[in-house]
Amino acid sequence: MEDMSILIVEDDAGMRETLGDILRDEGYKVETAGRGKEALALAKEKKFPICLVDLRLPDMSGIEVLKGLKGFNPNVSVIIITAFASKETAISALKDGAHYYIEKPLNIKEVLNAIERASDTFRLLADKKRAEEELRTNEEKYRSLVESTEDSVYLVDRNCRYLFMNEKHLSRLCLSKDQYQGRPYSVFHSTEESKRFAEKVTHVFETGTSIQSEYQDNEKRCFLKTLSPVKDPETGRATAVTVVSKDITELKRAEKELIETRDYLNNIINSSVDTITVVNMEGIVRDWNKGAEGIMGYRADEVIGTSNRKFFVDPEDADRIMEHVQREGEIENYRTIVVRKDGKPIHISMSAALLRNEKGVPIGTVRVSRDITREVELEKRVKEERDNLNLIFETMVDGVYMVSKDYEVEFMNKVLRDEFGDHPGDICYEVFHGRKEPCPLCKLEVIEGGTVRWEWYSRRINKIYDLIETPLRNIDGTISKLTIFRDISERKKAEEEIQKLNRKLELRVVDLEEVTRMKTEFLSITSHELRTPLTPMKAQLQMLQDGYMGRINKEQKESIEITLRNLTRLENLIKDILDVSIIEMGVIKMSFESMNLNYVVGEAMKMMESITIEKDIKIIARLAELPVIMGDSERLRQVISNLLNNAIKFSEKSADVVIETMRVGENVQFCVTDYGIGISKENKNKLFKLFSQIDTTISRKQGGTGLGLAIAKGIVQAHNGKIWVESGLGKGSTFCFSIPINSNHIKIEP
Amino acid sequence: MTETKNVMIVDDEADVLLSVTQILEANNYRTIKARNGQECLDKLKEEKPDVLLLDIMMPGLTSKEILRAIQKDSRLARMKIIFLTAIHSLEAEEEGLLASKQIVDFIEKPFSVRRMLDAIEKAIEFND
Repeated sequence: MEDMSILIVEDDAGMRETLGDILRDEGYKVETAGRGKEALALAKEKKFPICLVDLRLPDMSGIEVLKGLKGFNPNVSVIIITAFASKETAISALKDGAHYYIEKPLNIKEVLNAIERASDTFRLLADKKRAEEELRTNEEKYRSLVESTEDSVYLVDRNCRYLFMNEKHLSRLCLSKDQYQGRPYSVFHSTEESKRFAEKVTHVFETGTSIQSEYQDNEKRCFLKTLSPVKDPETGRATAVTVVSKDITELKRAEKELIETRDYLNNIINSSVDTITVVNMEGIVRDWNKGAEGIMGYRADEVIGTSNRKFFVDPEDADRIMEHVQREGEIENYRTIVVRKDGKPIHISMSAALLRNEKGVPIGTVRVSRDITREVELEKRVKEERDNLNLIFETMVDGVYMVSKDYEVEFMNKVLRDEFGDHPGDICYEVFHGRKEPCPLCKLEVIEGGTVRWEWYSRRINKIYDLIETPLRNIDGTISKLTIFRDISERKKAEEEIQKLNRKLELRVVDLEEVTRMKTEFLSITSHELRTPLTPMKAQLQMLQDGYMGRINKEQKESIEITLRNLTRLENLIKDILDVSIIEMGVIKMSFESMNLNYVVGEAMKMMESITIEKDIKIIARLAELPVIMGDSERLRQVISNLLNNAIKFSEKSADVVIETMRVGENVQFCVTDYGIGISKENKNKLFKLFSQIDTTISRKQGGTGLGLAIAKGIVQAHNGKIWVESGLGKGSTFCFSIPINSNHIKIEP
Repeated sequence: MTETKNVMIVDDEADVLLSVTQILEANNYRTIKARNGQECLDKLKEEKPDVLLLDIMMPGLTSKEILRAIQKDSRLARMKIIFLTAIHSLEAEEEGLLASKQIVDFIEKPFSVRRMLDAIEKAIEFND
């Protein structure tokens, strides 16, 4: 009998002990008390399931004790012992919570029976209580579970009537607790939904198994709905259906994102132009993306499962990469050469990282490689160009240096190093100019993007340099500087010499001009002085000839004619000398006007008529239509007359002389051609110089001063024109001059 | 023959002066001679020639000075002037002188007799 303690409350000691002994013998644990207070004190300390209480006690009544005991332990079974049985008392005791009463003298059997029953009752009560407790605890547990869950939970019967609904679901349906009980699903849902739900509920009732389905509500939230049968524990038949509706929106989203992320990564890997490969620790290719296919030319299925060594021009590179990655965990931008499937070598830059399984054990390497063949070639070219440039710089006669944006010398070529010493990293203005701060030109111009050029005299090495300083724009936007040193000391010296010479020459020129002026003046005066005596000579001779002084005979007349003819010749010579003197002085006076060269040619031809008839020369004139030019017609007539006169002079009797005018570009041109003796090459050059009549015998035969062509040249040049001759000995000559149609140098005078 | 025309000849060269005088007198002109500019101006105070033959390169007064003096004298306004020069083209300064209406011709030395007589005849025609 487990812990079935019995408290005996009896004031009669004999009775008390006897009863105690008997019950102990029966196996109960027994404690005794002689007084009510003593009993209550004991009961306070310890719960007695069964108490035997004498109704009459010296200090208090048994009923009072009973109440006290009940107060300590509501489940206590109290058996009242009474010596005088009175129904009223007994009933009152029972009312107050006693379970039994037995009368004195005590029948042992009756006592034991009563105890037996009391203990049963107690046990029963205790069991019931425990069960109730348990039920209540469980219910609490389940309720809190049901209420604390984020899921909607509800219970329906066969007819889809709500039996229970948790707070979550209430809030979803916007209902209060008293609004749903016994009401059908269809009240809160559409017909369509209600129909589907009813089908599912029926299914669960019929099969006794759970079903799951997913659905989406109006707010696009996803739910996983589980319908499970609630079974009668005895019959095993479904009595209701629980519905758990789980919000799986976030789950779905995460799942979708996961899928998307995976697809995205796959996409990246496969759309990468770089090769992404996985090689295991044994060097066997395990993964090979599209980029690798593109760059290497191998398909994934051709290389996966094979060694990666074959790709490297130097197969030991494969080992080096693996070893490095194993040691360091990664390798960055390792440059090597691999061979494509078609045998073409390509430069790649590879970065690789160690791949570990979840336990941290290395299982391979993932490698990303980029085709850098073009970059490598470019680098090579850049290097070559830089080398070439360096070579040029080094072998240049000029000095070259470059500085950083902070004026630090980055490069000095050999010439400068020889002159100034090598100064890598030093400050340019200190090294070259001995300054404490940047030269103003450099600071204001070059660093602002301008090029400056200046001359610099280095006292230290006594040289003059022509400096060209040019800004070099760096990638980061800062500006460095390139300076070229050209040693111009010699040139400067030469220039100074030249200037000295020039000054001397200037003085000489002034002298010469004076000489020329004097010469011309001399000529002018001389011709005047020569002409003055000629004047009365000619006048007197003409008077003689014309008979002013009386009749003259034939001989006298001839004598006078000879004298006059030579007088005329002398006069012409003087006239030409005067012309030349004016041309020599450079003060030839032109009076420009609008004129047509053809008209002037006609005038000149008219003047030549007598000589042409005399020599029976046929003048063939081919005059083209000419634009009007600005010119001095009198002077040009003089030129044309001179050329025409020469042509006639040097022609044989009855020969042709051809005169042509034409427009050549922006010039008008006059040419006269004779078929005479012509001019040798060496003589052609002398032709337009003073007193240059080629053959003195001809000169004597033909007359003329030898000044005509020099004068003609002076006049044509005063028109900004040109005069020349085309001739060969024995082939005749063509003399031409041309004059620009629009000459800026000719002032148009009103 | 109409009235005799007066021609003044100014030249520092005696032989030229003589030769011209001879030619003109032989051709029925009355001549007045002057050896230089000053003499020319002095004589012009009394004489009023129809034509003045003036050498423009003489010592003493320049031709410009002579011309200015003549132009001041309204009495001589109808007198025609012919330049005589041993330089065959005029200097710029003399060229400017040609702007005057009194100057009607320009004879280069040495001249032909015919040219001289033609020039004088033309000058007189101007006046008439």
